[in-house]
Order: sequence, then structure tokens, then C-alpha cells
Amino acid sequence: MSVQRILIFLLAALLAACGKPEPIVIGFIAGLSNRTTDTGEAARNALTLAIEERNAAGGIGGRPLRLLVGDDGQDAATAHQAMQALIRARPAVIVGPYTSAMADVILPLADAAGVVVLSPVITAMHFVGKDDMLIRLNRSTRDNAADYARVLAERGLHRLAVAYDVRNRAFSESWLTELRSQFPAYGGEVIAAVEFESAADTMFSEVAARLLETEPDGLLFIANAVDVARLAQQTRKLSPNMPLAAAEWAASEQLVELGGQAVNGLLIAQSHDRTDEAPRFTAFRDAYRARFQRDPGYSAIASYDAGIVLFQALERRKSGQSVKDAVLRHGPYPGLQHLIEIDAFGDSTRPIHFAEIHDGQFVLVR
Amino acid sequence: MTLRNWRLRSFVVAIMAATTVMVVVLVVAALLAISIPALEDETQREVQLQANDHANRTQIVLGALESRLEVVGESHALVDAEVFAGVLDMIIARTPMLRALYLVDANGRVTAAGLDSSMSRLRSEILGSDLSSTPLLRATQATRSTTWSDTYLSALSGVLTVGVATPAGDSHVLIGEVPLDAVLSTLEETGSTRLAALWVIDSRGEVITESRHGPGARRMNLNGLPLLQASLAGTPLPPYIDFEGQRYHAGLALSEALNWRFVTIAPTGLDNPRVSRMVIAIGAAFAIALLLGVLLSRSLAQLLLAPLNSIIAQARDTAHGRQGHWPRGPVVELNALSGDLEAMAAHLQSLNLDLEQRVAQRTEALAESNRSLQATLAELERTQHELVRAEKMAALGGLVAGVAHELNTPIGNGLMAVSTLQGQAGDFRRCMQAGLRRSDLDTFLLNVDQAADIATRNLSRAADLVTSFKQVAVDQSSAQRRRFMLDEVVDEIIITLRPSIRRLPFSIETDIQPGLELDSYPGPLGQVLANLINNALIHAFEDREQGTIVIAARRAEDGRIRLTVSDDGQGMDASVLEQVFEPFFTTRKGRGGTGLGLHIAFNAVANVLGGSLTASSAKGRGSCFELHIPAIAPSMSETGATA
Repeated sequence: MSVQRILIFLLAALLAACGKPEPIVIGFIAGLSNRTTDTGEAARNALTLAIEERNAAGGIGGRPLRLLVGDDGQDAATAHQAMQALIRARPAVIVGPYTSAMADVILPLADAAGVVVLSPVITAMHFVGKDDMLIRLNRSTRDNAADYARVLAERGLHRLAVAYDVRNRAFSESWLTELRSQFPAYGGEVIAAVEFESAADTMFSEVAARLLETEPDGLLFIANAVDVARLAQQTRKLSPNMPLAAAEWAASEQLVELGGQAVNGLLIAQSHDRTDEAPRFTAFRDAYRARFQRDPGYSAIASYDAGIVLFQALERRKSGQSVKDAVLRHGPYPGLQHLIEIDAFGDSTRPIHFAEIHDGQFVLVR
Repeated sequence: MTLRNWRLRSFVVAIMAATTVMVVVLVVAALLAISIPALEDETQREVQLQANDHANRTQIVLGALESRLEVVGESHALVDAEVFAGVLDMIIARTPMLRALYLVDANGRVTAAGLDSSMSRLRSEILGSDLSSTPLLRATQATRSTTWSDTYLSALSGVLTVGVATPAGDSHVLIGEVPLDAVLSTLEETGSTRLAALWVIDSRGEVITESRHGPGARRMNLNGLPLLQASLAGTPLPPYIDFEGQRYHAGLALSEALNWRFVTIAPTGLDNPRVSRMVIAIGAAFAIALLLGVLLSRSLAQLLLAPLNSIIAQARDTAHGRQGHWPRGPVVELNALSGDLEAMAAHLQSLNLDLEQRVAQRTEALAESNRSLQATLAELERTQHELVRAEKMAALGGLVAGVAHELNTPIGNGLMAVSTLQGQAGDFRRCMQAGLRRSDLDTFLLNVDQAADIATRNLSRAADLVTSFKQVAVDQSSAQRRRFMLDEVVDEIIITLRPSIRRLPFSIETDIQPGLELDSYPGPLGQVLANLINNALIHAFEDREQGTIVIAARRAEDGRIRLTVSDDGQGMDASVLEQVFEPFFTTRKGRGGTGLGLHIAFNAVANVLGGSLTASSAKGRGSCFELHIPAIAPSMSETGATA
């Protein structure tokens, strides 16, 4: 054997040794260090589970998936930094963000880098019907507000006082605007809208007092779970029987833990059906419980759906096809509870389920 | 494959350096092979020890906090509510690790709160809040013992925190919030500089806190790692974890009291600072050894090469003829080499001297023989000239003999006629004395007429001959140029030769185109013809009974004269034909041939007549000599020297 052949052999052996397939990086961005940690953590857990399951089944095309987690801190500068770090890792796709305010920060960066951002939950009208790098798996605030308007009116809540979080203005104002435009059709009216900033030192008792002084039929909070829990706590001190409702954003498992008795009877919409006993859903729920010792919330389910979408899209992606094109073309996707169809603008829809909280449980209504 | 040429110095240095490198590489490889696994094992043990250490220290520190809260909790039943609220604030003020303390009643309502300054304005909101659904409170109410929580979002502060809850009295629970940062600072206070990075992980796999160095795992859920899976399942822990594409030594300690896991990790392989320090140290040692080896090998090579170089220098000097001292040094073999070279050089020098002498002698001898040869050559040339002249003289002599012989007959006839007339004149005189008769007179007159006639004819014949001979003689001796008719000159030549031919059985015929006039040298032409004819007579017809020589001449197409002398004799073979014009070439050596006749003819044609003489012949077919000469000969200066 010539020296050359020995060298080639050694080189080949070396390459074979280094020849582990390069992992496909899946970026993830959500609030993980602040008041939205509940939805962020649940979403991250669900995506972690989806990726662990997929990797156990051999990854995609023999390549393992690697989750890279970024924390937007619900702060523009932090989000900017986290997003840049994610983009540097050249992810196939970034799952997130989970609030519209962060989407405003992240989208320009994603558009510039040409990275698909797959947001499982955001709904603000601002992002609907645009041909950009954002793909949404949720319905819009218009759809949600319309359903809320109908259900609230049906429950006799016609004069509504609203508190909304301006830290996520993109979402909360969009939501409020839609409610204001839809509510009159059902004979309802938003009689007061009090804005507040989601922060540790915000005096929620004052917000609650301002809402109550308008003598409404009920209160609606457009805020995250922590803030809704605190608003509910403060409201109950002042008016123990005031009907409460909250926008779907707060519908996490932590709402119940943090709200205690204060959130009893609170009306809230959910983007998944907790009572679903279909084997596919229960298998997911059990796996999630076993892995994270908690029940999966709406953001978990939507993020698991995001995993389903991007795995199928990446698997069916043809060589040379962009990830965005693959996601748009290789649907529909079998979500956990519904068939996900994504239109040319990267928009989608999903069912909605109204629930009330009773004794620490979400109980479906109507 | 061609071997490149090395300088001895480079060669020696390279061999020494290669030896050094090989030895050092082997030693380094052996060192690394032995020490790295040992270091890795040590790191692994240490990582596990550190995990235990962290768990113990944290448990001690947080245990002290627990004890303090338990004392406070127990005092709840002993003091009234306002005093107790003051106690809570005092505890918060004196316990930096605590951000908030809540006293919660059996319904989960906050009845008293101790808050740090950043939260004190929220007191009114916090009091009366419902914590009944929080897992920590539920767990503490269920077990009625002190419990630590996983990380959770504080309902009251809205930040990620860990909590500790202890029963206060029979129905109440005291909950303390410990910020995650405080847990980290606890660890940093208790831990010295650590090799390993630390993750503190709650029961759900969330990272409570982590050391500032090492790979960040915050925001991740780590229960998926095989290490934590093994810990949760109670199976033996793997010594490594693979995290974000890298492998780490891992140790894990479970704090039963906190229900937290302390995971310490340290990089493996070259990322392990111990291994990398060792590799760097060994690498440095390797580099130094290599450097020293190379430097020393240069000096050692110098030591070895210095005497050798002086021998080489001396050899080069000797080769260039310079004298010098053959060096001696400390190496026996080199001294022997030097001695041998010295002896060899001396021997070569003496041989060289000897050779020079011999060359001088030979050169002298050669010069001598050269001189002698030159003299001989000059002698030969002179002899050749003499021979040529002698040949010419011989030709002239023959001519004279021919002329004399030719003149003999007419002059003899004339003399006989005159002497006959003289006798008859005596008879007539006697008749006159005895009486002259008419008849006598008539007879006498008749005789006189006859005699006069004979004498006149013969003498005029002799005169003609003399004129002819004179012309030939003048031509041949003076080489004068003149205009002449070719046929006349040829006839004159034949006449001069006839005496030699007459007694032989051979004939000469001529076939000369009439009116061929030449402006040339009739003497040399005649000499050429005479030589060619003589050559034919002597060689062509040797031992023959008959033969004919034909002399023919025509004007050729180029205006030149083509004159041939051909015979029907025995001819020549090719080897003879080749050399027939060479001087002194003769087939009759020792039988009177000089070997110059044809050479003279050739030279005369080429040099005087300005033409060419060629010969063609074949054995048994006769020979033909052909002159190709211009009708107007070039002047003598053009044709060069005469023959």
C-alpha cells in the first residue's frame, strides 16, 4: 500500500470519526425571566418535549435537532440581544415570540436575516395578512374579541370596564380596539379602559378601584397571568362578587396557582380543549406531565403544534426550497387538536374554548 | 527517486534533531497517555465531591434560615398579631437572603407580611391576597413540615423565586421568598474557587441558579439529561453529560431537605483546564527540549565538523596547488584520514613532477621529428620539382632524338644525292678530259637535274622539319601564348612523336573538326597530348600486337573545346582510374615509370589551359582521356601557378 493510500485511509477514518451529522438548530424565544415566564416556560417545555421525541425517532433526515433558547425578558433591548444571538447560530427556524410587543422587536431582525419566525400564539391584527417572515399558528385578536363580545353579552355583561397592559401594547390595544368595535353589535359597551404597566411595583389595587368606580357589569383584564391574578386578588378585596373575565393571554396554569380563590368564576378563552380525551392529546399531556410535573397550558399546546408544523415542513422541504416556502406549501399539518392550515400570508386559525375557573380548574362553558 | 544533496552539517544536524524529536515525542506521548486519564479520573472524583460539598453547604446555610423561620413560626402563637408583623419586618431587615415573609392563615389568606424596602409600598395589596392554590402552601399544609419550593413566579412580586414554607402554630404557615440571586450568592460565599460549574436544579428540572462560569443552562429544563433521569430513577449516575455539543464530567448531589439537585460539571479533554495546563506544560517542555536539542545538535555537529572542515579546506588548497599544514585533531579516524590524504598529496606531487619532465622530453622529441619531417618535406618537394623538370627534359631529349632521327633521312638523302653528283661531276670531268660527248653531257645534265632535285626535295623536307621542330621546341620551352589552329598543332605533335611510333605496331588517327582556332598555349597543350599518347603507348598497349590511338576534337555546346585521346587498349580498373592523376602513381614502378606524366598533364590542363582533364576507362575496354578547355585560355595570373 502506498504512502498516499495510507494517508487517504487515515483521513477517511478521521472524517468518519468527525462525521456526526450536523444538528439542525431550532431557535426559541420567549419571556423566561419575568412576568410572562409561565407561558414562556410552558412553551419551551412543549417544544423541548417535541424535539426530544423527534430526536428519539431519528431527527430529520438523520440530523438531530438542537433547541437553542433565548429569553426576551419582555424588554426590547434584551430581546434584540437574544435574537441576534439566535440568528448567529443560524437556526432553521425560530419559534416565538409569545407576545406581540416582542414580535415588533424581533420581526425586523428576522426579516433582515431571512429567518422564519413561527409564533404559536400571537394574535394582534398588526401581524395579520402580511407577507413577511412571520408565520402565526393562532387566530387573530379580531376573531377572539368577537367571540368574547358575544359570550360576555350572552352572560349579561354589557357594561364592561377593561384594564390593559401597555407593556404589551401591540396586543392589548389591538384586542381592546377589536372588542370596542365588535361589542356594540351584541349590545355591549366598554365603559372604562384603564391602562397599567406590568411591573412588580404597580399598584393593582388602584387599577381595580378605578375600574370598579365606573360601576360596570363586569371587569375584563387584558394582561398576563400574573397580572390578572393580582388584579383579581385586588378586585375581590373591593368587590367579592364582581364578574371577571380575562383575555386568553392569561390562560396559563399559573393563573390558577397565583389567583387562588380570587379567580374563581373568572371567564377566559382557551385555544385548546382541556377535556379532550383523544389518545393523541392525552399521550402528549401525560408525557408532558411526566417530564415537567405540570399540565400543559395553551402556550405549551400551541408550541407543540409549532413543532409538528416545522418538523413536517423541514422533512418535506425540497433541496433549494426556503424554509418559509416549505412551511407554506407542505401543509396542512396535523395539530394536536385541529388541522393546521396556513395561508399565503403565513396566517392560520384555531378553535377557541371558553372556560370558567372553579376550584382551581378550568371548566368549559357552553 | 533522486536523493537531494545534503551538506554534511545539515545532515548531521537533521539526524541529531530527528533523534531528539523522536525521543521527545515518544516521551511526551507516554506522559500524556499516562497522565491524561489519571487527571480525568481525578477531575471526575473532584466534580462529584464538589457537588456533594455544594449540596451540604447550601443545606447548612439554608438550614440555618429554615431554623430561624421555624423559631419565628413557633413564636406566632405566643405574640399578638401586630407584634408578630413587626417581628416579620425585623427578620426581613436582618436576613438579606429573604425578600419577603408572609404569614398565611388556614384559608390561604395573607394575614401579615414582612417586606423589604423595595416592596413595602405593596403591603396593602399583599395583605389579604389568596395564596391557597400555590403548590408550596399546599405542600406545607399537607405535611405540616418545613418545605422548599421549586422555582415559581411570585404572585406578589411577579418575579421568579424560590420559597420556603414552615408551619406557624396550628393553622398558619409562614412563607419566605428567597430570590434566585440570593441562592447564588450563598453558593458563592460558601464555595471557594471551583473547578466545576454548578447548576442548582429544582425537582421539575428548572435551573434555580447557576455559577457564573461554565455553560449557561438557565432558561432550560434539564430533566431530560440522562444524568437527571438517572437521579430521578435512582439508577447509577453516568460520569459524563453531553450538553450543547460538548462533553462534561458531571457530579450530582441531591439535597433531600431542599429537594434540589446540585449538578457540577467540568469540561473534559483539552477543555479541562488541568488537562490543558498539563498539555501546555508538556508542550512547553517538548518545545524547550526540541530547541535545546536542535541548538546542541548544531554545536555538537560543529565540534565534529570543525576538524573535518579543516581537512576539507586543506584538501581544497592542495588541489589548487597551495601548500599547507595537514591538520590533526582529537578524532583518530579523522587524523588517519588527514595523514592518508597528506601522503597521497605528496605522492601525487612527485608523480606530477615526473610527468612534467616526461612531457617536456616528449615535446622536445616531437619538435625534433617535426623539424626533420619539415626538412624531408622540403627535400621531397624539391625532388618533385626536379623530377618534373627532369621529365620535361627527358621529353625534350626524346624530342631532340626524334628530330635528329627525322632529319637524318632527308639530310642523308640530300648528302647522298650531292655526293652522287660529286662523283658524276668527277666522271664528267674525266669524260671531258677524255673527250666529251654529247651523250655524256646529256647524261650528266640529267644526273645533275636528278641529284639537284633529290637534294632540293630532301633539304626542303629537312627545312620543313626543322621549322616544325623549332616551333614545337619554342612552344614547349617558352609556353608562349598565341592563336593557332588546333589541327596544325596536333599534326605537329604527331610528327614529333612519329619517330617513336614508327617502329611500333600502333597507329595514331586524328579526327579534328576543321577550323578550330584557339587562343591558348600550344606548348603545354602539346605536352599534354604527348604525355597522353606516350601513356597510351606505354600502358594501354603493353604486350599488344596492335592498337589505335584516336585524337578527336569538337567544339562543344558551351563553346569550349572537347578534345579526346582514346585508345582501344587494355583499359584500367577503378582503383587505378581513381589515382591516375596522383603524382608518382605508377603501375610500372621499377620499369622506368616516374608516375609524373599524367599528373603534369592534369596540372597543365587545370592551371595553364584553364580547363579540366578527366579519364574514363574500364578494364579491357580501352581508355579515354578528355580535355575540356576554353577556346580562349585565361591569362596566367587567373589560372595560378604553372605546373
